[in-house]
Amino acid sequence: MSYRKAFIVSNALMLGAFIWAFAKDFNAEWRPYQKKYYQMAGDALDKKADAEKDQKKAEALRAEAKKMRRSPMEIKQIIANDLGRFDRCVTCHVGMDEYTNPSLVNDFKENPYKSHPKVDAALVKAHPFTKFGCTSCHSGQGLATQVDAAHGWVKHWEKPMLKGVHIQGSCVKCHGNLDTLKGAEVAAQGKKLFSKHGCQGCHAVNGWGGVVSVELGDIADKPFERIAGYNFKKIRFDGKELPNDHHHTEWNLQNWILAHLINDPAAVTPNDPFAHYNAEPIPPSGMPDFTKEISRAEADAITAYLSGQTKEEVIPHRYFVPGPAPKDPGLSGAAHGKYVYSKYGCQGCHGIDAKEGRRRFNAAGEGQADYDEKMPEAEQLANMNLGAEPTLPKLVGTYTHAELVHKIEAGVPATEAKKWSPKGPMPMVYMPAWKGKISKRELDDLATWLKSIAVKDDSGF
Amino acid sequence: MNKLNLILAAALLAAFSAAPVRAAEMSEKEKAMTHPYPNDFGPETIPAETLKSYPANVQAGYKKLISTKGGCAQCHSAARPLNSRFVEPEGGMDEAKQEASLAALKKAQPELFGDITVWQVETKVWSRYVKRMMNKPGCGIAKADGKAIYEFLAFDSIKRKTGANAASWAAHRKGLVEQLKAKDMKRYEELKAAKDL
Repeated sequence: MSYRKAFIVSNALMLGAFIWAFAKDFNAEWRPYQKKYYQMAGDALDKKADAEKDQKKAEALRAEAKKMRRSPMEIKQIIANDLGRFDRCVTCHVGMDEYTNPSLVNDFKENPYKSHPKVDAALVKAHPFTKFGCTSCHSGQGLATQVDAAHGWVKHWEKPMLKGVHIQGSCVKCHGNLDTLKGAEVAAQGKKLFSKHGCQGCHAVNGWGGVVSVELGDIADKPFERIAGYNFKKIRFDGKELPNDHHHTEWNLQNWILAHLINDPAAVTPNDPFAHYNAEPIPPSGMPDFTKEISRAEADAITAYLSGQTKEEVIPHRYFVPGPAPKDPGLSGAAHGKYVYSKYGCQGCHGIDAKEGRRRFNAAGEGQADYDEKMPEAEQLANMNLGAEPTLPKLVGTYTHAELVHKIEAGVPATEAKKWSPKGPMPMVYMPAWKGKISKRELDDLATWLKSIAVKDDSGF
Repeated sequence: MNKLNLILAAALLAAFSAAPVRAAEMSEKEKAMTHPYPNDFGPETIPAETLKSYPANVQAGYKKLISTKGGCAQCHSAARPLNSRFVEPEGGMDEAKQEASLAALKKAQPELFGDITVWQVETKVWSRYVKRMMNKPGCGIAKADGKAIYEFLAFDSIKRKTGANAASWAAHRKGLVEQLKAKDMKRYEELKAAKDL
């Protein structure tokens, strides 16, 4: 090919590329929404003009309507510099753009045309869109201008829009006063439930709590595929599986947290207790089964609370709202001991009010058959699942006060547990040493309370 | 792949295939030895002639204790209770009588109260410990068996650790502590700090 021909062909290709780019932009997904919004807003102004008795005002409204219909089609964005947010959501949600709709109110009922709900409420007033953007509360992908991408429902976007009550997790990021914060009641309830069920016994949050399992102070930042992988396939919501698609929007962090509360975690993360794939057997998740203790609404509340546990987001300190210091319960003796038991999350393993030890996979437990290596694996698994943490009222009477204090201070290593299956995994949950973490007074009162709940000794010796 | 790489790969393969027993398959005794007590270095039985001198019910308790099926040895080595420093004063189930025996021991054998790593003389100490073990999940020791084990431990603690046998017991027990010190200094220090040697 001669240089001349090559020049002509390359020019033609370039022209083609320009035309394609222009056509693509002209047909961008956001355009029809914006166009329709201008039309609807113009119509609403005309309707208002028709109802207006003052001729001058009516003319002004008609002029405004005309101007609205002729508004330029453009990418609109909120630049919330402090929070590092560049949110183009208002390109489609024009009713929430204060330049197009300064009152931020309209009568439209459907998305993306309707205005933001409760704009007059203190909650929204305290979080002006120009300062906070959209995604700092709602999550999603602020820079995107296509529906699925903007809502974060695309491959590799790990923070899709928060749905329902989970959005209250965003309040947790800044509000130390969560417990009394209006509008964040569900997340506050989640925080209380997290403590009530003893999650903090194993999981620390921002450095406060147990070390048995992962720290959850940055759970919202964790790449969810790294946490869960294909175990998403084991999740059941109302008995139904999630879509079997690695990149499906339902494979998200909120559903992963929720799944641990409304499914038996051992079923969600079964691992490899018979060492089929690994050199050593690996026990299932050591997290207790909370399905009989926690309702769906409560699980959603805990999920909302944990959804706000982020370290990745850089939020300036002036955005933080401090809360009051924790109140001293004003208790003493056994009553204080009971409070201490709950405060440190002992119930995470030993049950609420120490009523019953929770599952400890492959530890010895009540009702287990004698181990037989020829037993079918399903049967072995059922027996391993009967392994349990000690039920304290049965045990504490066999300790003196001083011995109990020492036991709590020293903790119990995992190796002390007797395994049901000698070939099975080491029971993974253990009691950490509490020395230095619980004050002497708390320890004394805890031991006093534990002694008070001991069952009557009828052993005859 | 050059020859050196092949040799290295073969050596690695050989090292992994010759790996020792998997950690998951450790016996209860092996597991106990990951956090040993001085007791664990002692014998797992008591001499036959000593046992013969014990009453029949006490001998029955001993047999239950050393049994790996439904006895103490199902969870840990029998060496742990048999070489323990615990001594329960005579007096049976009656704590007042035990208190009286304890007072008598303090007078007659003050050396029993001088070194806590050799003797820990305490009322009801074996009673508490046996019940504690029985109440661990999945222990499965029946009440009658637990009582028999307790009777053995309480009786044996007086017979082998006090009176004429006190000196030999002290030598034995000190030897065990020395063994722990020599074999696992870290654990020794840990137990010493916790006053649990």
